[in-house]
Amino acid sequence: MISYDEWRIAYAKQAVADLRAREKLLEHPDLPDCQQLHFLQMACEKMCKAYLSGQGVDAETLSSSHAYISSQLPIIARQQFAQESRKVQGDRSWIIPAIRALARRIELLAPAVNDAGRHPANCEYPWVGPDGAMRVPAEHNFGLDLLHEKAGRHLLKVLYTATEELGSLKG
Amino acid sequence: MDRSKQAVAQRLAEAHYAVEPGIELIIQLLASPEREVDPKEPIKLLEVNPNTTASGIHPLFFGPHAASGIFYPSVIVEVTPDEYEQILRDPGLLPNEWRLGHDFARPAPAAQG
Repeated sequence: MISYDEWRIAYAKQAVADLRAREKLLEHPDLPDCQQLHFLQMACEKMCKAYLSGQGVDAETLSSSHAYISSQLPIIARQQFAQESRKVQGDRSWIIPAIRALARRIELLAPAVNDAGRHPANCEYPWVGPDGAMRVPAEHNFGLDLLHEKAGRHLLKVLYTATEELGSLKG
Repeated sequence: MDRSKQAVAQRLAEAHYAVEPGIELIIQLLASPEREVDPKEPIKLLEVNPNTTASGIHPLFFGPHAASGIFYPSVIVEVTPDEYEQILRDPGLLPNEWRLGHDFARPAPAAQG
């Protein structure tokens, strides 16, 4: 019987691999944005699933859904900020709502999450735009640059901190 | 620093209220008394947040973080006010035979941060 911790570690390892792949893709600005965004979306999804793996959770059910990022990533961020809160000065109350909004945009990058057909743009498959023209992910401007998004760097820090926390389970 | 599970749960709840003022209410979730005395049994918080999406009851499992005074593993379940009302009507919606415990009061503004 596979333990919950084994599932957590497995999901975390795959999330780290996705983040590393994204880093490599970012070294090549000639590649279309959809590629690194695809790995960002997958890393977020697997990180959320790592934290969702626990008592009473069916791992098979977890693996089949893509819509966990916007609801779960802000909770992971909040827990991390709560752990740091004594060391941090200043008002950080804006960050979680901003991360929630950004997480939703990342979640929508998955083709299986399309807001009931209202948001067909995704990082993997072509789609037909509202004007009836074909859209290709590799040619699409997703307008999502974590470096310049309000909570972009916070979200990335949450992801990397989470990989460290889950990585410590291995020892 | 009080290291009891109850004190740690209180600190964690206060920190969450401070980090996200939009949280309406935080309630402790409890397993059976036999499980709760086990230090490995997580602190479990149900957080009612109108800013989250109604996506069901999905517990997130976190490890201890002794450096910040969180000496026990913890579980966070975030729900919308509507989902909370459903849980009040049917506590059986909670997984793992958890039950609702007491509320954690929001700290006074001066105590936050």
